[in-house]
Formats: sequence, C-alpha cells, structure tokens
Amino acid sequence: MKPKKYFSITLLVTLTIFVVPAIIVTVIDPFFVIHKKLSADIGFDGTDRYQNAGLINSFLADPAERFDTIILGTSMSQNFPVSAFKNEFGRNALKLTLAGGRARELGTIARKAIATGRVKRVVWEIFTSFADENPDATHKNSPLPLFLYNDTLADNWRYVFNNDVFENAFKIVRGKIIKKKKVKRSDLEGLYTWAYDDQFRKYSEKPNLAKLYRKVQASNLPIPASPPETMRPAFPNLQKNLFPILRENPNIEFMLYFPPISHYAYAVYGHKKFWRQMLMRKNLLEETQELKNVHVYGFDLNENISGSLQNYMDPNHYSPAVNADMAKAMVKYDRILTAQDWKSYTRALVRKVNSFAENFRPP
Amino acid sequence: MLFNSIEFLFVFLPITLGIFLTLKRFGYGKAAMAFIGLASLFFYAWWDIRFLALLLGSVVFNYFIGRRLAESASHRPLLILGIAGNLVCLGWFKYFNFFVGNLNLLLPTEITAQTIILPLGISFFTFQQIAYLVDAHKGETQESNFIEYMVFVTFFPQLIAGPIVHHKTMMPQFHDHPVRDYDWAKACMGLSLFAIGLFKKVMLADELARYGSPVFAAALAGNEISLLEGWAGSLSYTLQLYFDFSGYSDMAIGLGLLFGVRIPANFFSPYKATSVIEFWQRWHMTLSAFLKDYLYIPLGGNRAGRPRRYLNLMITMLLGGLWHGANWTFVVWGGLHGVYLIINHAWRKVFPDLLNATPFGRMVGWTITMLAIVVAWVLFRCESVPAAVEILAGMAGLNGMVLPDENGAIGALKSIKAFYLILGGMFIVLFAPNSLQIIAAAERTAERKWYSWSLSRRWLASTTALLSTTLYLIVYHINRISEFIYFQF
Repeated sequence: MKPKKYFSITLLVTLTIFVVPAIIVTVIDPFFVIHKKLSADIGFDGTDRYQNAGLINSFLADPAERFDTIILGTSMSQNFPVSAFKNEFGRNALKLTLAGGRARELGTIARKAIATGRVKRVVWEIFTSFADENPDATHKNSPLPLFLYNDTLADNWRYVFNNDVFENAFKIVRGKIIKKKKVKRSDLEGLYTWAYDDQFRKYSEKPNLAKLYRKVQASNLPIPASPPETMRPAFPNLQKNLFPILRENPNIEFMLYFPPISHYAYAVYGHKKFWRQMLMRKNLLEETQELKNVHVYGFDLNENISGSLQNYMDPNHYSPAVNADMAKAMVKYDRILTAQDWKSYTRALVRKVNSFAENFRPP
Repeated sequence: MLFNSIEFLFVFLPITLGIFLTLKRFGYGKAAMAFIGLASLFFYAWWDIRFLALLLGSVVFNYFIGRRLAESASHRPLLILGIAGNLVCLGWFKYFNFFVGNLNLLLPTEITAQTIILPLGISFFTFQQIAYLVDAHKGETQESNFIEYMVFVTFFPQLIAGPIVHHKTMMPQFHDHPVRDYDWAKACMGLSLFAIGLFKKVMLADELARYGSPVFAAALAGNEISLLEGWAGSLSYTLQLYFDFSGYSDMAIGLGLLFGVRIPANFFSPYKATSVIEFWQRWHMTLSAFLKDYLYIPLGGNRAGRPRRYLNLMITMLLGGLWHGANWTFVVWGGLHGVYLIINHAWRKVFPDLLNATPFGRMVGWTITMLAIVVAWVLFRCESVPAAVEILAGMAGLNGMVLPDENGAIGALKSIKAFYLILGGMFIVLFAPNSLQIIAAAERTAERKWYSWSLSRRWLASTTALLSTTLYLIVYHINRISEFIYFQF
C-alpha cells in the first residue's frame, strides 16, 4: 500500500469510528437535550443529572407543553406526585430533582429553568447542603454536569461525545430498532420516584431497631434548648445559591420547605450539626420575611410522620405517602413558618426529639 | 499538555502537523524547522508560561557556552561554569527544599523552605545539555545554528519526559532536516507507534493505577497492608510504570517520526531481563547511557579495580535515584539497585554462565530479578519509607492474609479482579514483541517477523483499532459522570 494512502485511510477510518457514537447520540438524543423525542413512546430516564437538562430544554421551554411549576430538591423530593401541583389553569408541574443534589447544583438547575421564562412557581426543598460552608461544592461522586446548564452552546460537545449518553442512546436503538420492543423508561408522573417497600419494612424491624437504639444511647442527648452561645455561623450557600434567585424573580412564587426527616436522625445528629441546621433555617426565615413571593413550610413537628420510624427507610428518607401529604398541605398554604415562629418551632422540635430519644425503648 | 490530553490530540497535534506538512510541501524546509521550534515552545508554555523564560534562558546559556567550548576545546573553566550553571538551576528547582529539610534535621538550623514549582522536564533538558557541553569540550559536537540547537533541546515529543536525546544522534537529523524529503512511510510507522503508546497509557497503565494507587495511599495513611493487597499493589504499579513510561516513549518516537525525526528507543522489554544488569540495559536506556557515559566512566568506571568499580556503581545508582526525585525513597531505591548490581557483577565474576546456561537457570534468574525489581519499585512509588516498609511487610506476609469480601475487595484493593489485569499485563510484557522489535524490519535492522510493521492492511486495521479505542476512551469517558449508587447527603 502507498504510504500516503495508508496514512489517509488510517486517519479517516479512525475518525469515522470515533464520530459514529456522537452521531447516534445527536440523532437519538436519549435525554432530549438537543431536540424533542423522536417517537412519543420513548419515555424519560432516571439519570437525573442529564435528564433535567433535557426536561428544561425540550419540555419546560416549550409553551405547548404547558408546564409552569418546577420541583427542586434531593431524593427526598423525588416522590412528590407532580399532579398534586397542577394548578387551576391546568398547568403542570415538572420534577427537576437531583438525588444528593448540593445547594449550588439545585441553584444552577433553578436558574436554567427560570431562564426559560415559563416558570411561575417553584417548590424547593431546603436541606443540609444549604448549611454547608462551601457554596461552590458539587456532589463528590456524581457532580451535576454543569456544561449542560450554562449558556455556552459549544459545551454541548461534552454531551454528544459522552459514554453515558451513548450507552443510553444505544439502549434505545437496540430496543426500538433491533429488538422492536418498547424501551423501559418512565413517564413524567413516575419519573425519579422510588419506593423500596422492602427497605421500609426492614428499617422498623427488631434487629434494626436494636441497632438504632444503641446509636441513640451512644448519642450526646438531650439536645439543649438553644444553640451554643459561641455559634455564629454564616451561610454562604443561602447567600449565593438561594437568596439572589428569590430576589431576582419577584413574579415567581417560591414554596420552600424543610423536609421532615425522622426525630431519630436529629437525635443522632450531634448538637453542633442540629443547631447549625436550625440557625440556617432562622437565617432563611429572616431574610425572606419581606419577600412576598416566598413561603416557607416546616413539616418536622408532625409526630405521626417524624416520630414513627415506619415511615422511613433510613434516618432521612420518608415514604411516598409523606410526599403526597406535604403536597396537599403546600397547595393549601398549610404548615407555613415565619421568622417569628422560629423560636417556638425549634423549641417544639427539640422537645419532640428529646422526648423521642427518651422514650425509645429496645424492641 | 500531555500526549493523551484532548487539547493535544485534537488541537495541537493536527494543527502543528498540518502547518509543518504544508511548509514542507511547498519547499520551506527551514521555515518548517523553525516552526517546530516555535510549536515546541508553545507546547511547553501551555503548562505554565512563566517557565518558558527559564527554558529559553537555559537553551541560550548552553548554546553560547557550547559554541565557545567547541571553538576552544581546552577551555575547562568554561565547561565547569556551564555544568555548574545547569546544576545550580536544577538544584534550586528540584533539590533546594529537600536539602534544607535535611539540613534542618541534622543541624540546629531553621532555614525556611521555599515555595518552588518544579519546571516540567527540567531534569531531562538539563542532562541533555550537560552532555552537549561535555562533548563540546571534547570537540565531539557538530556545528549547528541556534534554531537547530533550540529544536534539539525543545523538540516537543521528547521535551518533558524524554527519551534523553543525545546531540550525536539528533543534530545530524536536524541539520539536514530542511533539505530532506518528508518520509511518508516513516510517518505511517510513527502513527502506529503513537497508537501503541497511547493504548499502553490509556488502556493499561491508567487501568492498573485504579487498583494499585489506593493500596499505596492506604499504606501512606498508616493502614496495615495484607498479603494479597500488598502484592496486587506492587505488581500493579510495576506494570503501570512500565506501560506508562514505555507508552510515553513510544508516543514520543511516533511523534518524532511524524515530524521526520528518529528519537532513540528507551525500552527493550525490561521485564524479560534475567539479571539486574540486563534490566538496566533494557530499562530507560537513554538515562542508563547518560549515567554510564557522563558519570560512571568519568568516575573511573571499571578501570581501577573491583572495589572502586563497585563504589562507582553505587555512586552512579544513588545519584541516578536522586535524579528521579528529591526524596529519600528515590535515594534508597537507587542504593538498592546499586547493591543489586554489585551482587550481580560479583556473582558473574564467580559463576559466569551458571544461570544463563539452561532454561531452568534463566527462569531462576528471571524470578530473582523480577522479585528484586518489584521490591525496589515499592520504594520508588511510596512517598515515605515507612509506607514502603508497610507494603513490603504485607508482601512478606507479616500482616497476615485477608480474603476478599462479598464485593471482591480486600482492604484498599477495590477488587480481586486486579489480578486478572496483572496477569494480562504480565503476559504482554513477557510474550509480546516490543515497539523496537516491531519496527526493526522496517528500519532494516532485523529480519521480517510475523509482527513486523509494514504498510499492510493488517497494520492499518490494528492501528485504526488501537487509535479509535483509545480516543473513544479518552474523549467519551472524560465527560461521563459516575453513576449515583446510593443516596448521600
């Protein structure tokens, strides 16, 4: 073979093999980041880090889809029934949750969604990462692919030339074209939801309760009624990843809520961590009290939820029924907290947690 | 810019090669040569532009001293000035804090350590130029203009990690480079070598590192290392280092050929060696040659009796160890190899052909050699001597043996599957032909074998397969996110 021919063919074939997966990704677009579904029966994928970008680009941004509410949060918000937030105008809610999502990541998704101009209401879970010190932190093992959430279109090459995305595209090609079968994916109502019945059952079984009892016994209890005098924490995550979004969008209604993790979780938290969370909530309530577009909800005081371990599959994750109850309360503006409530709210919570720990008996 | 980085593979290399070929095509040979020099400086500056001045300063300093030495070869003070200038520069950037740290330990001094960034490739371009000065002093250098000299030092394929090129092999190539026609057949061979090197780095070295590195990190953190963990860590690293470094050298040689320059080989299947002496004839050959020619022989080599020879060997290996890095682990590693070499030479003196005479003897020789090398690599890899001792204790079974858990993990070793990769790697290093053997027939230095490179469909398919697989892994995997396994808040 002539050397020039050898050289050219090698490069040409290599480049062709190299770009074929990218072409497949561009055509199939398994997360709908570049374009809408090729076929109506291709459902949505639970890989939230990619799927949320596609939901925003191809669904929220499209007026024909009639979405005006978004749900933000971690895995504790994934079981919200989106239909519960459907409003009187028939507009739908879109779940943009992120399992393990950090404050910065949730803020990034919020900004991108709001930039579509279609969002009228945001349901937003405020959990521990808003009390963290680093406002730029992303999830250590599964960070949000920020390149999908910025304004730089050129960054999309990182979506197209991406093994994760190609694997998903290939599954669709194999299922639809090769095997001629419907690919197992979710609809929007069921997207991201989880319900591990077995784990809920196991969590409140005797062997586990015995383990939890030992942990409670080893914890530093009771939790004091007020934070340590020396504790004056700052909350850069609120300052950077929440407040600006609330202030810049006075026409959007924000329904912020503190998820009802179990009393057991608070009992084993440790004083410092517990009070840091509570002071973060105080800061949030104070900073938002003048904002008419913001409502803050607290659900931790309901002993039927937080005091009963049967509702949980681990210290934090509650059952889908709890999400459904919260959604009902939120649309009725029930369980709203204000800055003035903070003191009584935390006192009640401390009392309930201490009482839970005190009355927690070995099975 | 690393050879396996996206910016190098998809931007720097295509653009540089494209402009170079265009200039050659239209007969601008000298401009093509100057362009390689500029591209090499850009390549270096990409890492940190502040050190470009250092590189250029070093080139100018050595070029002019070299020229003066070549004009009046007996100018010994100038040679001393040149070598001292290079060593002071290397000493400051690489060894100052090491020296100060040890001085503060030994004496009641409190000299403050400095924040010094180690310039990329400084050990390589410093040694390369010291050799040039010494040979200029001996009158053994070829006259060259500044551009040729600059490209000789800064030629990007070998600038940051060698091979340490010698002016005798490189200068004649750069001298007639502008008038030589572009050799497309060599370029094709270069492409294949580059593909092999990239494959070794991405598919083998990086994969092995995933298993080996956590074991060394655990030892450094003070964890106890068990038997299987210790062996998996040390063997993974032994193979990783070879595939990484020889892969890099293959890529350097391949890139050199793409630009019409033949860079010397650096490896010749070192793990096939049946003695430590042979190992050093096959491992990092350009460094071995440098140490021999510019350190061991000037010290007296083997000309002053056996005790002096052993002393020279030990000095050479200790300094060779220190060249690799400013840490006692490298010194101990060099010293250990010095001891190995002394024992090996002494053994040969007493039993010249005992082990090499039979296959069984060679097998015994190989086993002892491999064991010695693996033990020494543990010291080379560890960031502290106690961590190395911990791993060696684990390998010796002093910390007991732990069996894999339900996920196949043993302590810091993520999976027992590491041993499959190690076996595969060992098979390649022991039974596959090396890059030099692959291109030997095409370079007319050996007879054609089944694996010899040629302009054939078989090699075209192999090169394409290697290139497309590694490029896929590099690009498509860099953007992926690891799957979220369990909720973590």
